[in-house]
Amino acid sequence: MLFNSYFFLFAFLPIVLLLWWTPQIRLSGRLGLLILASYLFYGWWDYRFVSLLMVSTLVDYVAGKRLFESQTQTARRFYLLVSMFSNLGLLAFFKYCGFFASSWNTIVDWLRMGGTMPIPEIILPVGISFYTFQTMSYSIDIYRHQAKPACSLLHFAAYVSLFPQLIAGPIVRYSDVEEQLRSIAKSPNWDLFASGIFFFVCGMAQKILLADSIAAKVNPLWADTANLQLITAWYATLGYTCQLYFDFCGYSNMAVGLGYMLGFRFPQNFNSPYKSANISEFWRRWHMTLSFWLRDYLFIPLGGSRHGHLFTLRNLMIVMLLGGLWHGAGWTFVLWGAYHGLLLVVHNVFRTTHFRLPTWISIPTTFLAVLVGWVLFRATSLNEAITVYASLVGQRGIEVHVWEAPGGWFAWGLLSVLLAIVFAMPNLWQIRFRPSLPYLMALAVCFVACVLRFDAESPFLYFQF
Amino acid sequence: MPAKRFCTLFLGITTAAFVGIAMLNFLVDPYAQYSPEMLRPLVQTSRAEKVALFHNLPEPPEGLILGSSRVLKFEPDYLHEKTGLRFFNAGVNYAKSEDHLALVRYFENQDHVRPRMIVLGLDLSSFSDGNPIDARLLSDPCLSPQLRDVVPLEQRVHRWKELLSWQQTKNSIKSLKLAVTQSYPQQDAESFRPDGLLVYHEREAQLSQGTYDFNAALAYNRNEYQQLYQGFDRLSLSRCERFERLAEHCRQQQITLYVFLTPMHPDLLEYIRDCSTFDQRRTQMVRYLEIAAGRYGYSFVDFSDIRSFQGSPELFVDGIHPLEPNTRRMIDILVQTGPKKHQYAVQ
Repeated sequence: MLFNSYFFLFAFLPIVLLLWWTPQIRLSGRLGLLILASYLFYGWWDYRFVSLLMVSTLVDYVAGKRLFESQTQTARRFYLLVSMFSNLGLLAFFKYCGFFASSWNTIVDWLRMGGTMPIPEIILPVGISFYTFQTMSYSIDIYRHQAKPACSLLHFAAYVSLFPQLIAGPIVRYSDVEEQLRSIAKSPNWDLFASGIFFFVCGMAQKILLADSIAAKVNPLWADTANLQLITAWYATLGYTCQLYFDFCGYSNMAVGLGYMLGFRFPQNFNSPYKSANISEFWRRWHMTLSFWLRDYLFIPLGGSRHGHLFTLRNLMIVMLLGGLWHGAGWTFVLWGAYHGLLLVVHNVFRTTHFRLPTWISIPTTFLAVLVGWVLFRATSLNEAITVYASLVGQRGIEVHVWEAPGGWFAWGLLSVLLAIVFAMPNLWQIRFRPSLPYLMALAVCFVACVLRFDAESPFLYFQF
Repeated sequence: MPAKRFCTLFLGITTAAFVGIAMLNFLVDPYAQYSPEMLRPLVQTSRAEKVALFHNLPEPPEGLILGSSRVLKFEPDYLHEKTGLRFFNAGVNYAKSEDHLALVRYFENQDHVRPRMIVLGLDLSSFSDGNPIDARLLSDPCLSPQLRDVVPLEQRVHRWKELLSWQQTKNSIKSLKLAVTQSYPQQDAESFRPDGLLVYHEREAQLSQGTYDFNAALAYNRNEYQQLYQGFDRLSLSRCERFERLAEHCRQQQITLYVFLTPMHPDLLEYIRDCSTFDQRRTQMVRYLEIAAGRYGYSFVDFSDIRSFQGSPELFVDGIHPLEPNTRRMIDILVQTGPKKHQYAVQ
């Protein structure tokens, strides 16, 4: 189910909110209701994969409990491994099987060894990358004595399936919501609820009014990359840079808003990432919950920056390679990860020189570096990426009619507005929202405008990861 | 402002806005989907008109011409001359396979007399999943009930969702503006003859005077067809299934069925071949219709390219609508090919 659909907005959400805030329903009933609603939300896409979510929940709940109760280190390791194998196994099977098989075939073809394997056609369950990371963090936190196991299966199932963030994050850790799940308020906190409306409507506007509008301009360009020239290539890349940001940030804000309406506080996922002055800062501001997850559960266990400079650089590279692979099962994503790893390595080396660029140079430079990386992220193949890079440097010609090339004044105006918002406006977390008449009118107009645009329902970009 | 009051007001204001917009769209009904009939719709309502014309026929037709606006110039008289059967042109705007099925079912249910022959013109683009079932079909009180077994619930509720769509709201306002300023396009620009044949009063007058702007019409088609073919990466399974229901019905009832792919003006064809998946889809469609022809025993001819029927590019009103001399040439070839034997009907 999409947040930007009639059914979600006019049936699912009102019913869930009404039942959730019914004072007569006990805590366990409300948790049960939340799980049921979340499974319905997930199963709306494909009911068969609800069982996958249930199995994943059950395995990690039992593993977490046993892990906590075990007295010996061997037993604790065993239960941690059970959790890791089940989660990574799910990911490997559903997300990477086809990729590994096709990569294997390419290698044996190249070496003329023979023995190619059939490429399985497996449907990627939506949100699997997100909820497996959540459940893994739960088991690891218990193993590290940083969290206690959930007090009941209901609590844990509610945490894993919480519908606002189930499909595309933010990646919430159990420790973030443990206390909130234990002490659910009986009646709504209206201040929090009003903030929820603010976040939800603004997130929806980011997605529908901004991301989808620029998508309509850049998608045709990306569909025909062979004919991109200098201006259109830059427009397509800049446009996609904005589209991805507003799409994903919009989803995260809607998720946070829905969480507030239900009385939950989720962590911030975006903090104006394109305003970053270096690549390291960018990763502290972009998809923050994933970055922090990779830092805490991958970079630090690999040794972090404890074993000298070279090891730190190696660890950064490994983390970013795997981060790239997390985003998608394809070599373009691996290369994108490697590219960001390299940027982080360069930045790390550069940092030791104590030389600092002025902000007016470092911010555009970082933005440009990120933008170049998005070409790999967006391209469907390496060849397509190379074609776009060639167009970006003018190797494939320059358009005669610069103004008309991407679609006239509206296209340029739209891109300018989006870039202005990206660079000049504060993000939602920086705005001190207070319920007032101007906010009320602005949000109501925005909300109505967004709903009227539902006729072209478009899924969120990050659903595919 | 207290937060609780803010939330209540937000809910109240947005609910009022949605109710207001839905009411506006329902009452103005720019696409003729909800039948309040208070203002003239912005679109042609050929389905309702064809049903009414059918009821006014002195006797039930022996043959039906089915298809989109691209078959509206197929003359029932000429087919009568060639086949000896009385024909009715039941073509409707933007027809797809569900329209053909609904029209045949409805006509048969009315008179309990089955046609002996059907001439069916198919548009390749109508086999795309990108085009939903026409809301005018779903809202037609005569035709909609014919499709209970083939139209999923999701498609049935689609037109109600459109009460809150940007496009519909924009067109409701446009419709209101036209009503207030009384600046509707000329009423008698086009009309149907009693046998269902379309007459372009205005365009034909302009054509004879030499004032008709063909290039503007072609440019409109280019834009329209480029959009129609966007994302058209496979034939719609549901549309094929509905087409096969009709073909199977014809086979069982021994109705002679002629199927053809409708032509395009060469300029539009060239343009659309360059910028879309037209060639791939056409190859797929032709192969599909040929295989199905073997199974259901109908005749099939591909008229996509006007050279297939020695058509003239001068005899089009725009990129997709042929004039009578071209349609006659197609009829000549169709009738010459003759019906295939109903291979399974009597076994």
